[in-house]
Amino acid sequence: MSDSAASLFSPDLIFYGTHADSPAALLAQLSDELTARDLIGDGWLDAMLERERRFPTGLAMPAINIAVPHVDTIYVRKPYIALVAPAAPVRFEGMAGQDPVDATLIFNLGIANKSDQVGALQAVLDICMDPTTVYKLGQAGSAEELYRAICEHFGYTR
Amino acid sequence: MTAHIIVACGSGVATSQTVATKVERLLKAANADAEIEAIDYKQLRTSIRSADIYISIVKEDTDWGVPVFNGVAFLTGVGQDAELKKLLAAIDDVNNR
Repeated sequence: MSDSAASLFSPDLIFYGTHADSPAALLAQLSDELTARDLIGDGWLDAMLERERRFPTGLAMPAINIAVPHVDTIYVRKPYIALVAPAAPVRFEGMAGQDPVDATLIFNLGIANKSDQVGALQAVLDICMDPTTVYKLGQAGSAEELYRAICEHFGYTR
Repeated sequence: MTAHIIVACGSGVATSQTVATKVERLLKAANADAEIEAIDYKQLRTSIRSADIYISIVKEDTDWGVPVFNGVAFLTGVGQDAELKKLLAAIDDVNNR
């Protein structure tokens, strides 16, 4: 059975105000956080950097710039979605040769099983296409507020 | 004949699946005669031989000899209507072969 995308978000995996001046710096910090929680395996960071170099994931959505870095399932131990809201936008190369984007939110998709987490990216895109949610995410001043905006998007509160 | 469309992304774990699902829904709504398959970029060289249309989510420098469409439009919705229109015309061409 598919995991619901909502269940992949966790308050513990939302990072607000991260200082990073490049995707590599941001992903290195995220790697430490995910490793500490035993969510990823060895080689995740190298695979991530290589994949982002060859197949970048910056996306200019209508109301927000995001990046959706993800790697092959072999590097992911348990499924998750991590969200990083950096202190200042981080420039990611655009997907498919599109212009670079200054991403204000970075959604890292931890996909451990292709068929179980098939809805994860679409859920992230839905979040970023919903004007109300995008507004709330933009106004959020803490990880808790980001998480609340996401919960409200999915129609439940914790 | 039915148009065979492939969608490729870097690892085949998220992006190509998501684009394929989205495009499949749009094509169904438009009653288009097409089948769509998400693949890993590593399979592209093989899969392209049996494909009529390729939707790309990676930077393309190669001429694959089939019409190529911009998959990012189907992810962000930006430029999606225009891309869908062109895609439907390409499917028509294949259907009329």
